[in-house]
This record gives sequence, structure tokens and C-alpha cells, in this order.
Amino acid sequence: MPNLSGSVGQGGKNLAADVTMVQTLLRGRGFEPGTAGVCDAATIAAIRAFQAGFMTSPDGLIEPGHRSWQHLQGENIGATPAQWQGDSSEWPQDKKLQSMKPEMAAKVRVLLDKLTARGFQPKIVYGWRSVAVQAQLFADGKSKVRFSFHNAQLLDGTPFSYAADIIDKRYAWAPLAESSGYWKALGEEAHGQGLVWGGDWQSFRDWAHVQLVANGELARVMHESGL
Amino acid sequence: MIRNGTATRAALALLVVAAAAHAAPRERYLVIGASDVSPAGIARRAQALAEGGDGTGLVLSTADCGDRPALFAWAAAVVDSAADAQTALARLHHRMPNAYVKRCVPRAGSLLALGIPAVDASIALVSEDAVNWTDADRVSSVLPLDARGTPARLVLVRHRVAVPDDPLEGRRTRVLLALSGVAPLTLLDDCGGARGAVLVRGWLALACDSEQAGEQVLHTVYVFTAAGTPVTRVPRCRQPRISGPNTLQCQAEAVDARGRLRLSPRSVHLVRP
Repeated sequence: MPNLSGSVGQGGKNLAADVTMVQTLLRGRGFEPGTAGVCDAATIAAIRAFQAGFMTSPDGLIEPGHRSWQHLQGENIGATPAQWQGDSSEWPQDKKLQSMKPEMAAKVRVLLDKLTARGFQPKIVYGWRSVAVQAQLFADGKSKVRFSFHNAQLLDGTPFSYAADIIDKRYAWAPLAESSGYWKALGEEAHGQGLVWGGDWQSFRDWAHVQLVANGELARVMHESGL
Repeated sequence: MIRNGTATRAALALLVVAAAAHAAPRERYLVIGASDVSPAGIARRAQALAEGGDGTGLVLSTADCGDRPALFAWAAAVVDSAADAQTALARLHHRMPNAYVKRCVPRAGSLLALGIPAVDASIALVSEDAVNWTDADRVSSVLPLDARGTPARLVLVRHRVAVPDDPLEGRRTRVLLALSGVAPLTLLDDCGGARGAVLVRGWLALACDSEQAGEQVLHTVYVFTAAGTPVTRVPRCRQPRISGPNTLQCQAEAVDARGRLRLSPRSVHLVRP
């Protein structure tokens, strides 16, 4: 595969030969770029649509040697390994723990034990979930974010979640979860493990959610995930 | 948080709504000093201009003038006559030689017609490495109300608040009630995902995103009088509608242990304040 000599797309150098090459590859993937050799609005839109399949913030730019170019050439960058595919909310508890960053998993194990000792029946609803699932939730209005700590992964696509959603399986998100003291207990034990608890968020509560690091670290975690 | 209103203001507002329902669009002259295709770009340029002593001006979308495609622009002045525009332009030209005057008939009920910035000044402060901000989160908009014969509208002011470690990276939506002839009234300081707004039988209701439950967003329904006086809020409910003279109906939300959403009808009796 020949390489690009310059960037193509939004703000790119857009040399005609490079643009033509990118347009050819985009067409091969079912996208509809514009006039051959011209980086017009249709070409940038096609690049963005293509990037949306693996990036949370498509920038409309293909650069030599960068991730979008590698994807466009067909390299399988960061694809989820086979054993981690499927609906991660349906995985067994152990697999959900394995889908977390080891430091997070260790803290969650302690958290589960402490909640159980207090008479609760904790259940992990989500450890890791894929960026693709997250994107769908966002598109459906079921999440406020396109990337969350649940989506963290290693560069080879292995789940590496910094977050977990933990309910009492008897109450789920029903009012009993509050009146029984479960949410309060989850918050106390999460704090005891040095975790961030979503029940503390005044602007948009997420009662069942715990995460390893502060929200201000989200950009770093996303970049470390190769996203 | 619901903002308080007064009975006097409410009565006045309703009268003005009725009187101004068919006000004709007015030709305006925009003295444009800067433009940009992106909301983040125009916000930063407007901030720089303000810090440089050029005043706050008004950030607008030329879509409100009917332009397709549209740009975001910073107007140093928005005036009623060509002569006033030329005077303002002359004052601006020595610092901004590319400044120009644009003639515009703002679309009725648009942000420009209401004099509300298309991009709030706080947007300039959104971190460049913010993860979950989209262009749509940076642009304010107008939401027509389901109100036959009245020009009442909700204005959704998308802005940024400086809250450390905020789960939404400071993304917020303020809701204003715009009634013709009176200054817009703030109904809610924070109503992400504002939707389902209805104005029926003198009641105004809308739903806001309020919490995350697994893979579901839950909502709170807020009810006001038609003039913006707060009446009640109903947590964990969506799709508000007014089904009788004093009855709100919405869909109560519950999420089970497998994360599945279940909706059931809920009725709430409304009492006028």
C-alpha cells in the first residue's frame, strides 16, 4: 500500500494524489466522498463518518502514520479481542471483574465483600463496555457521554475499565435502594477504598457508579486507551 | 433549581404574548467584526475581542438571517438603520479593517431576534481536551412550544460551568422562557436534554435529564404556569403532557436489576400558585 505524502481532510494539505487515494479507500468501505482529487465537504463528511466507527471525536483528518490512516488501510487497530465480545452486561461477575484495570478490580472485590458483610446483595451490572456500545447508548439518549471510564481499554483492545456499576440485586435502582441504606453504604465503602462514587455528583447523579480516578482524568484515560 | 416568578409579571407576560403574537420581523443591520465556522472558534474569538476592549458584542448564527450554509459571527453592533451601521462600522474599521455590515431580517423567534447569543461566552472556557463536548453542546437553540396561537418559546442556553471534576465536564443547559415583549425569564439553571416541552391550558411542562441508572438516563418533569411561575417537579418521569384542566400525565421510570427500563403512566394533580 503506498503511503500518503501529506494529510487529507479538514485542515489538511490535501494534495490531489493523496485526496484521490483516500477517496478510493473510502469508497471501498462504502462511503461516498466527493469530486475526485478535491477535498470538498462531501469528502470531509465521508472521513468523519468513517472515523465515527472507531473514534469518539472524529476530526475529519487523515494523517500519514496516524490511527485513521492505519484503519483506512485495513489494519485492525484496537479491535476487541474475541473473548471480550458480546453483551458485557450479561457476563458472569468474575468476567466483569476481569474486564477492569487490576487495581480497580481489587478495590471492587473488597467493596463487594464489605457490602455483603453488611447484609446487602451487591451485583456488578457493568464493568467494561465497548466504545461501540457506548456510542450507541449516547446516540439513543441513554447516556450523556460518548466516552466514559467504563470504556477504557489497552491498546490491543483488551478491556481495562476504570469503573463499575454496582447495585443490590434485590432493589436495582428502585426507591428501596435508597430507603434500605444501600446507596449510602455503597458510597461509604467506595470512599473507604479511595474510589469516586457517582452518588456524590450533584449535577447528574449516578448512584450505582464507582470509578478509580477523578473525572478530570477522563482525557488522559481516553488517550491511553488509544481512542 | 426552579427560579421564582411573581403574579404581576405573569399577568403582564400573558398580555404581552397575546398582543405581540403577530409582530412582523424587523430588518436589522449587523456590524460584523469576526466570523468562524465552529462554535468553539467564534467563542474564543469573541473572548479575545472582549478582552481587547471591543465590548461583548453579540455572537450570532447567520442561519438566523436565513443563510445556508451559515457561519457564526461576532457583531460589534446590531442596529436598526443603515446609517447607524455605517457609523458603527467606521468606529470599528481602524481596528478591524475587514469588518463589514450585513443586512438581515432575523427569523421570527430566533436567537438573533431575541438578542440572545448563539454561543454563550462561557463556551470559550471549555478545555481543548474536553472529551464529551460536541458542537451541539456549544450552541444555544430555541424550542417552540406546543402552544396554539402564541409565540412563546423556550430558549436553551448551552453553557459551561466551572465545577472541578464534574462528570459532565461542566456541560449545562439553562432554560429560558421567551415571551414576546418581555425579557426572557430563567426557568431552570440546569436542564440537560430538555425535551417534551408542552404549553397547554396555561401549564408549561418539560422533562430534563436528571440521573444515570445503568444504561438508562432518568428524567425529572418540571411544571410551571404559562408565565413561568414554578408549580412542581416530578422525579423519575418523562414525556409530560397536560391531560385535563389541572392534570399532568407522564411516564414513571423504573430500572430493573438487568438494567431494563420500565415505564408506567403517572398522573399528578396540579394546583395553581
